[in-house]
Amino acid sequence: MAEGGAARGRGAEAKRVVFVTVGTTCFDALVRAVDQQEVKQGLLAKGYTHLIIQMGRGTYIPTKSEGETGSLAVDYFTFSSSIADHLRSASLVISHAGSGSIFETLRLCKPLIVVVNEDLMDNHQAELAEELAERKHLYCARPQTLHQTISEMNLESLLPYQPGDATPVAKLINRFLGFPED
Amino acid sequence: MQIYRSREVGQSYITSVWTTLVALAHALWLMLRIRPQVILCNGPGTCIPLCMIAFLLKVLGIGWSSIFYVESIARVRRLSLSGLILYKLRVADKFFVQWPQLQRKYPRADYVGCLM
Repeated sequence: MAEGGAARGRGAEAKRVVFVTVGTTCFDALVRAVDQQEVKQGLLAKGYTHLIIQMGRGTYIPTKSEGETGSLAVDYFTFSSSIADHLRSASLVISHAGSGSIFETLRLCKPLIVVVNEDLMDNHQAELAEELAERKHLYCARPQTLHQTISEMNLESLLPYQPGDATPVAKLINRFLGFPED
Repeated sequence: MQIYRSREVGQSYITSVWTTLVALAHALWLMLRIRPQVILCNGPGTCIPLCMIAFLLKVLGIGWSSIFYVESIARVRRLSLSGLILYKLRVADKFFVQWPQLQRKYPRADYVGCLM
């Protein structure tokens, strides 16, 4: 292992990126949680090398790091026109409970931890995260329990999500409108 | 094409009365101009004025639009406010939900599985 310097000094070791996204929301509690030593150590212990935080409208600024030996390389940004590339190059995604982020990640077959924002009023988003967690498509956590979820998670046990299908809706609409069945 | 919302998130209920009337008037104008045969919507509340106008025209016997509503995939156990309004008032001709729990709770809905 290379001594000190930038993460690229790690040479041939595989880069394993954790991508954190809060979408267009302000979710300081998650950014704060991910910035904790406990969480960063937990991620390192699981073999991750890089942490990229998309912080949206958040006001809490995480600490950047070059990622010298024994520590995670950390970087952050507010928004990007598309997080698809970040999702694709990630080995683990930690996301807020927005349905867009969730399904975009699941469709790319990436391991996902959804963190529910308890500060939101009428948090119906939690229902979706909990249901998908029950069906073992992702892990669900709260900002305070994130470090625990990371240390206890077994990503091999997650079940792949089968993409949805709009055909049933189209069929029912066609039938109602009186179009002949194909 | 832009349509007006009856109420922005967090807007006071008192000013909402006026914005709702504006939205309804605009929806009526759109309906008469476009005369859609099918209205397909998924909430949020933006679709309500349009659906209510289409429904009102039907009740008056001069309607021509079929109204289909697809509840959001994020609604697993409870309907959205838009969904509740359209379901309870029987405004939609077909009311689609993406999770089986909602179909059990709202039997007149059609369960179509996840669309995403």
